[in-house]
Amino acid sequence: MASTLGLLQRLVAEKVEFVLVGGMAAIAHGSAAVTEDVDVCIRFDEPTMRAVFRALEGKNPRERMNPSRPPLGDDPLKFVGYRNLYVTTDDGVIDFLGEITGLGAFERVAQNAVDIQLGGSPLRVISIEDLIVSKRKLARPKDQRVALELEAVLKKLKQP
Amino acid sequence: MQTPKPEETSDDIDLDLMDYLLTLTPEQRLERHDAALELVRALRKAGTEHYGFDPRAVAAAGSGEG
Repeated sequence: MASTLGLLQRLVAEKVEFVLVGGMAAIAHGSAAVTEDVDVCIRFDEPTMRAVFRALEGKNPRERMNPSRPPLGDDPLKFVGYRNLYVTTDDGVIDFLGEITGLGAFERVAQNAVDIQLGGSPLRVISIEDLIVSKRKLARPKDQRVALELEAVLKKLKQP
Repeated sequence: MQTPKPEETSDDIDLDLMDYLLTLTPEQRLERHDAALELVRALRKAGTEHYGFDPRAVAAAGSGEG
């Protein structure tokens, strides 16, 4: 069965250095939204891209933004230096982002990230405060809605 | 006798649902979402089989999206 959690677990298993961002991160923080995309922030360097390719092996990864949806191929180094990589797989969509709106590149996003447990392994997730900043910078109504939800969660968490 | 309406903020955020979600661990929230997404995909597949095409494409065309 296709599983977005399965995609995340493969990244963790292959020791991809990443931070979970976007809608799935919002869900981890308490949002009731439903999203089909897994968004992760990474460095587009050689070790990361090699690990990403290992994690996606056997899942028929293809470039999502290319109309012909070509396979990613077998050369991870081709993607070193990319800013973003949008991928569709047999288990769903996963977007690799080099930069997060309103925050910056991987180092900035990782700076305040929190660890949650996923299947007994730590999973790094963007902090709720940073996620709110990022969602507020995006103009789409669905992002504003998630920001509102997260602000309500944060308010609740700060209550004595 | 009516079921009480769930508590909402002025932004229509369901605070009762939020309270429930906050009783779960982050991993449990992700698992719950995965199950919901599985249902969404199953319903979408059923809809596509019923209509003989993906009705989302029609909705998107009608609204000028994508």
